Order: sequence, then C-alpha cells, then structure tokens
Amino acid sequence: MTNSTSTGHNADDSIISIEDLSFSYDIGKTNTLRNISLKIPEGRVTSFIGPSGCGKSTLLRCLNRMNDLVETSRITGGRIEILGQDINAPDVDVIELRKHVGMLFQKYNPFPKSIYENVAYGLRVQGVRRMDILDQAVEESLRKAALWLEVKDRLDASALELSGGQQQRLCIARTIAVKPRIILMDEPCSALDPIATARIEELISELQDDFTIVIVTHNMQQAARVSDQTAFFYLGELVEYADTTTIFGNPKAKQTEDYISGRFG
Amino acid sequence: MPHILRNYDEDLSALKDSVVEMGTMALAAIEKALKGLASRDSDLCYDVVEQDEIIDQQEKKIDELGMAILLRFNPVASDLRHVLSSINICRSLERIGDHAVNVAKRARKVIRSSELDETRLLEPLFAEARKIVSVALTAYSDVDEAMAHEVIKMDQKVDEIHKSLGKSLSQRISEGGCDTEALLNVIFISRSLERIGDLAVNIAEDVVFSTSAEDIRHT
Amino acid sequence: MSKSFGRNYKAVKAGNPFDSGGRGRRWRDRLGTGVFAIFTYFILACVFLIIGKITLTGAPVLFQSEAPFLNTEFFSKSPMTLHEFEDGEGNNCRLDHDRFVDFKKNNPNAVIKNEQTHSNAGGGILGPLVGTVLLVVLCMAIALFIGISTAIYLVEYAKEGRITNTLRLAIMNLAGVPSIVFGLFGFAFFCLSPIFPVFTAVPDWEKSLLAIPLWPSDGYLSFQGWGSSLLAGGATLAVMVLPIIVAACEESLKAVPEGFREASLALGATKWQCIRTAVLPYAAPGMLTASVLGITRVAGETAPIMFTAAVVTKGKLPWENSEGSGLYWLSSVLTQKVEALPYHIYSISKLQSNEALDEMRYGSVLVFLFLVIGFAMISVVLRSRYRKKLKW
Repeated sequence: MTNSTSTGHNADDSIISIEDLSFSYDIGKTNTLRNISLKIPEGRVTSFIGPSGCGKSTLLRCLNRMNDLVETSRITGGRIEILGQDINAPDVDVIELRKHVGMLFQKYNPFPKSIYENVAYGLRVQGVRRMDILDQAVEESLRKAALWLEVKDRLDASALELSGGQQQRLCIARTIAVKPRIILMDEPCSALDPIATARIEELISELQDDFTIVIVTHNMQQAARVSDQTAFFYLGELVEYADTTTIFGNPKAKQTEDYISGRFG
Repeated sequence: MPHILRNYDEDLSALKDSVVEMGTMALAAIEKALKGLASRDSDLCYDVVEQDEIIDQQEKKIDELGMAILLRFNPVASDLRHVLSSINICRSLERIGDHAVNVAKRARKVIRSSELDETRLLEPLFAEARKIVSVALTAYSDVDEAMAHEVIKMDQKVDEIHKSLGKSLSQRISEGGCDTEALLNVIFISRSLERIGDLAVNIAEDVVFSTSAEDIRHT
Repeated sequence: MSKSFGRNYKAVKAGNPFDSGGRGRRWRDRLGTGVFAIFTYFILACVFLIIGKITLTGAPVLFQSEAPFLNTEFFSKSPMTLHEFEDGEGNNCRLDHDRFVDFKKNNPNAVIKNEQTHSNAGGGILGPLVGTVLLVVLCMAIALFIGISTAIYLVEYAKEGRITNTLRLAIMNLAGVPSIVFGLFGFAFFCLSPIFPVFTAVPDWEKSLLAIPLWPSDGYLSFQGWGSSLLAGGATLAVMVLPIIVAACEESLKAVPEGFREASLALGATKWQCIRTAVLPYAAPGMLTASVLGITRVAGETAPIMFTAAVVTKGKLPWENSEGSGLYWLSSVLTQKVEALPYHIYSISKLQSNEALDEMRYGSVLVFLFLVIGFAMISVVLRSRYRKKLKW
C-alpha cells in the first residue's frame, strides 16, 4: 500500500483520506460500503475498479457528497477527510465542497445551451458577472480540455451539436473552469468510441499535473493505462489498493486476480 | 478457477502443451545425441541435426500462439506472467535444441576418429544435463516453484562436473600423445552440456517468475 | 442439451406446406377484424356528424359572400334583443335592438306592425368571447403559478414518501370532482368567504369582515369576498385544472435528465440555482404546452362559472363598465360578472327556438368549437416543435 505510514494529514501527500468508512443507501438496511480505508495521493490518478454493484461509484459519490441527493442514505461509520477537513462535519457547506471536488459523469451531460455558456456555468452560479473574466476562463478551460481549437469559432453553437467525445471534453472543460482540486470521474468513457476514449485518456494524463483525479471504470485496460494507483472493490469492501502495476501484474488477493483476469464464475 | 471465456482457457492450455511438447523434443534430442555418441551411431547423431528443424518450427508456433493470446485476451497478472514466461521458455528450449545439435555434430566428429575412452567421462554430465532439463520441464508443467529452485541447485553440480571434466581433459591434451582433435571435441560437447544446464536454470527462473512474480535472475 | 434440439420441426406436408386447411378459422378472424373496425369508424362518424352539422349550419352565420367575407358584426357586437316586424309596405324586417331604437328615432312616423322581440337573438358574441378569453387568461395565470410551484415542490424538494403520496392522491382526487361541485365550491369559497379582499371605494359593510382604509386615497381594502366575478370564476377554473397542470408539470420536470441536475450541483450550484438554471428552462416548454391543453378542457366548462362568474346578458364589456383608476380600476374590472361563451350557449339554448335564434346558436357554437380546437392545436404544435428542438 502506498502511504501506509500516515499519521497526520500533512505528513504525507494524500489529499483524500478515507477512514473505516461505512455507508448505506437505506439506513437500517445493509451497508453498501463496509469499513473502507484508503488514502488518495495528491496529483496522481487513482482508479476504482470492481464488478457492478461493488460500491466503487458509491464511494466516488461520497467524495463530493452527491449521495446527499438520496434522502435515505447515510454514512453509518468512519469519516472522509479532504484537505484535512471532515467533509461531513456540520459546518461544511456542501456547495463549497463541490467547488473543490468536481465531477464528471458516465453519460456526458452538457446543458442544452451554447458551448460558451456550458463552460461559464460554474462561474456564473458563483456570481461571476464580468465578461472579461468569463471569456478568459472559458478559453483557458477549453484549451486545457484540448477542445479550444475545435470549437473556438463556434462558441455560441449549441453544445449538443458536438460529437460525443467532444461533449465529454466540454464537460471536462466545464468542470475545470471552476478550478477544483480534485476531479471525480464516473466511468467517463463508457459511452464513447475507442478514439474518443483515447483522447479522454490522453487528457487525463495531461490534467494530472494540475488536478488529483479519481476515476471509476469498468474498463480494466483503461485503469491500467491511465492510473497510478488502483483500488479493487468487491461487495462493498476494499479488497486491494496498490500501485496499478502491482494490481495488474501481481495482485496479492485472489479475488483481485480472479476479477482482473476474467475468472468470475 | 477457470476463465469466463472458454477460448481463453483453451488457448492458455494449448500454449502450455506446446511448450511442454517442445521441451520433450529438446530432451529427446539430447538423449539421441548421447545415444549416438555412446553407440558410435553417426546416423542417430545426424537425426538430431535434421530434427532440429521441427523444434525451430515449434518455436514459431508458440510465438504465434503467445502473440494471439496477448492481442485477443489482454492477459493480466498470473496469466500475463504465464504467457511471457512460456515465450521465454520456448526461447531457452530452442537454444537447448541448438546445443543438442552442436553436441550431435561434435559427436559425429568424435565417432569418425578412433574410439576414445574419454567419451565415457561425458556420461555423468550427459545424465545430469538430461535430468536438469527434465526437472525444469516438470517444474513448468506442474507449476512447481520448489522444483524450480531445485533446478538452480542442480546446475551447480553440472558446473562442477563440467569443470572437473575440463580440467582432466586439458591435462590429457597437455600430456600429449593422443587424438587432440577428438579430445577438443569432447571438451566442446562438455561445454554445450554445461550451457544446457544454464538454459535449464533460465527455464526455472521463468517458472518462478510465472508462479510468484519474483524476478530471481541475476541475483 | 440434446443434439436434436434445434431440429425438432414439424414434418413437411406434401404440396403447399403452409396450407392450414382451416377455412373457418380464417373467416372468424375476418369477422373479428370487422367488428373492431365498425366500432372504430362509429367514433369517426360521430366526430364528422358533430363537426359537419355545426360547420354547415354555423358557417353562413359567420361568413358572407362579399368582402370582407366575415360577418364582422357578429364579432363586434354583444348579444341583444332582435326586433322582427312588418313595415308599412309589408316587408318583413329584422333589426337588432340598437338599430331598432335608431330606426324609430329617425323615422318617428314609420309603421311597425306585428312586432315580435326575440331576446338574445340579435347582435353578436363579443361580450361572451371577451369574457371567456379573460376567464381563460386569469385561470391560466393562477393555475400555472400554483401548479408549477406545487410540481417543483413535489419533484425537487419534498421527500418521496407518505406525505408526497398523500399530496398526489389529494390532487388526483381533485381531478375526479364533478364540475358542478367545483362551481358550488367556488361560489362558497371565492365569492362569499370574506378572506378574499377587493379594492373598493365603497365597501359592502354587510359582507366585509375587515375594511382597511387606504390613505391617502379615499378607498378601502375590504375583505368581503370576490362575489360572483371574473376573479372568482378564473380561480374556480384554476382549481379545477390544477390536477392536470400539476401532473403535466411533474412529468415535464421528471423528463429533464437527472444528469443536468447532477452536473449543476457538482459545479457548485445551490439547489435553487440548479432548479432555476438547469431544470426549469428545459421543463418550461413541456409545462406550457401541457397546461394549454389542460386549460382548453376547462375553457369549455359551464358549470364552474355558472355561479361564480357568468351572467346571461350584460350591455358593456368589463373595462367599459369599470370605475376608479389604478388598483381600483383593476379591482373593479376583475370583480365584475362577465358573459362567457359556454354559458351564453347554455342560456340561449334554453330559450324558445326561432329562426334568428338558431342562427345565433350555431354561430356561437361554431366559434366556441374553433376556439377550443384552436387552443388544442396550438398546444400540439408547440409540443411537437419543442420535442424536435430539445433533444438530449
């Protein structure tokens, strides 16, 4: 395990620290996540893999408290700290948290507005009105998302006119316009063709200089390609968390090995 | 536990079967060369040279199979190590085959000259070389890490025998009065057998890598 | 699995392998199809008969053969009495009440014989038309405001559970209430109960619960109920259409992809920002078109406005009949009774039939039909246009 020698939050390079976390979608019923502990290092790409229903997406959505949308869900034990702060503490404003922890979804979901308005959305809801600031942020974000050259002449065109891959990159631009520290990606390529997928993967590796990225993926080759660390989840538990090369070259747990080599009966 | 894809399992075991088959061929080549030398049967020795072609073809077949598995199934973890080590092992076996050919060629030269007592000195080395290859192959086919470590120990014995053989032979040459060329050929045979031992160690190292992911080469 | 699994087919008959030999079965099949078809065409026949009869009889009233082809008087005059008489030369004359008064004034010596008056057979339908349009606009404003608020609360805010289910059940039950009950409810609630205020110069002291003098003007804000009025009628219709509007708005809100909400929230929007910028803009077209369709349905209702708003005849249009200025003027417009098309049709249908009245009836019904179908068409066109435009 990386960062296994951590005591204080600033003593290591972890930006997210999950301690003994248990979570339930329907309080009183079984826990969807059970006793998860892991530390996610800053400025790296960490991937969550595991079969459907293993809790990897649930954990991801705990990190920016998207699960708040499910009224009956509760954290039933343990804690999540981001930048040293317990994110479920009563004095945490979830809006502020989400400005620091952006999210990208499985189905690319740009708003049916112009390309420009999509990227400017996050800043607008934060009350930014000055056009020069917005213009600059939009260009910078689109450049970072490797989309600027393709759309710079039609910023007023509807985002829905773009191809699937471009729409997902637009969503990335929209997310980074808010300048988060962490970007969560929930199967960002599952609706894309291989070329568009490769573009996103390339983008991920470029973005990791500026952001900490946590990516949930069903595509194990993708996890192997893009991530530095990989966590394998099974039935709501963290089975193994290690360097990606270790997970895919020489996993310690038999469950991990069976899953990544396609041996689940 | 079997893979969900049955073709994947079938291809992996076909790969293993082919490597074991190739190993059997290499082993047979060594034995045939030994038998040819012992019985002074030049034709038998020539067989070894001829049949090396089959071993070479087998190597190509294994390469194709390994590549097909890599590109079709993207193996990971132990499967990936298995494919990589199988391809490495087939490389070692091909060279073992080549050394068997060398042995056979030298043997034919030895046979052509008059009978030489020193050829008998080769017998323990032959036996040891044959054994080490066969143990390495068993370790591979049975996925037996302990047996693989055994191979590494056995190689020391091969080296010792080779060294003492070399010493006594070079002594005989410096004493003079005998068929120097034949003696030199015997030394070359001994050297090939020693190389076969080293290659068996390579195989064993690949077996260890495949089973435990430990790279024990050059340590 | 046995190997013969896939080959377990029937033996092939000689000759035509697909001949079932069953003539009777085929015949019964045709009979069934015929019966279903007959019932379907029966509905079609009903539609054609209704629309055909009304159009054929009503069109000559609305249209004329010379320019401007439209019977403008029918649309620019309110209903009035028709005078039928014979003049001195024995010609049969028909004159609307206003013309008749002029005629008598200009020809004081004219001979008028066998004068007959037909109430409501003369003039046009301007009053009822204006009344209905005002009622619908008011109803739409009230119903959309309450309906959209309710739908937003139910879909976006309320916890899914017993309370929302009870609320939905209550709203659905509202849809099952007969329209006459709505009428009586509206009368008791909006017209009589003194919780609804009006701006007026002279409060009705008998009804008023509380009259607040509004300084510096010399009027009052008087809590005396709306009385039988435009406002009460619009509100009653709004309550009646609410179930449809709430359901339509809920559907439209639910049709907005969850991804928009998630994306918005993930970008740091507050709940209200999320609803305002990422949900409502995309739900609005659906809400509007479905609501128009709902309102079309209540626009044709007679029972709810019978007690709450409608009056049989009224000489002036609401704004011609109002007094005061500013709020007082508005209040005075909204608290008047109005003529309404469906109620007008109802009341002229009760009268003794005669040739002139029949024309009036068919003309009114045809206009009413156009109005309602027009509303429905608009909503259908809007809906299909937005469906094409907004795809995600």
